[in-house]
Amino acid sequence: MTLSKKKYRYIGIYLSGRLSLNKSAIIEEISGRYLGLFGSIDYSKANIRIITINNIPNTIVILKCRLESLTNTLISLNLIDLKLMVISISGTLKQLKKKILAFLGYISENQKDLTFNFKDS
Amino acid sequence: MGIYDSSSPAIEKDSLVLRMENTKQGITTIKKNFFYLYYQDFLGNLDNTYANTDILIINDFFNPKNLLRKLSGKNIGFEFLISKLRYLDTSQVGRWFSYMKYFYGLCKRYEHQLILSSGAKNIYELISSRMINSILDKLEVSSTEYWSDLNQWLSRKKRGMIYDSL
Repeated sequence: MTLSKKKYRYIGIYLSGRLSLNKSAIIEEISGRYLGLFGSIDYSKANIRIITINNIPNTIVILKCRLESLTNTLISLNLIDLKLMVISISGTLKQLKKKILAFLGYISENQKDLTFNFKDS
Repeated sequence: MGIYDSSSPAIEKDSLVLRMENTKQGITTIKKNFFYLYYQDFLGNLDNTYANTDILIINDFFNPKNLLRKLSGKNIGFEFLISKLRYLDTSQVGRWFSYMKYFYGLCKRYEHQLILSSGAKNIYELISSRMINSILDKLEVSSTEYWSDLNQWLSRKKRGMIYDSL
């Protein structure tokens, strides 16, 4: 019998200031949306977890989920009413951390030029 | 679509498409020769001919068959805003997905273009193409086909291109 290793994806998420204080609310919201949209069986297979790593600021949260459930996880993430932004998705934490640090570097360099609210033309 | 930033001279003009509300056609702007399309919100009026409208924004569920059939040949883009889904309850989101499958079929039949856009009003509502592909996947629409159709639709619109003369 061939045993294949389960593949996971890590999703780097940038949180608005207020949200970063309550990370457990994020997993509750995502789980609620996921359960509603795709059901409890699919949710249990997705294995969604929050991962904690060193040297990452409070405004970043990393989610881990099964590769097969990535599409559903992304849909759930983007269809919740929370101020968060998916920065990057990666198969390894090392790569994800690199991308997160690059993103944070860009944010701090361009803080003045960033527009958080858009206007209609 | 919908990016408007006149302070970025480095942006390649062909890589941006501006959208402008149809009722504001006479307004002088500083678009500096960017290609732009006219949009209008669909308010349920089936008698309107939607002249000079490139994009109709659909905000509510309605029976689309008569409208799409009536506008057949006008090559209209029907735009749906993903940001609206954030505020719908789960059953309404499910209804939206079912509606969209039906709508996409009608778009294909009557040669219109389905447009999924973020509808972002702030930075947190922006979504990536990966996310749009995920939604297309759930709609059982090939993302390759969708993006290729969208490119072709934009090219066709560009043939009758409106550039600002300023």
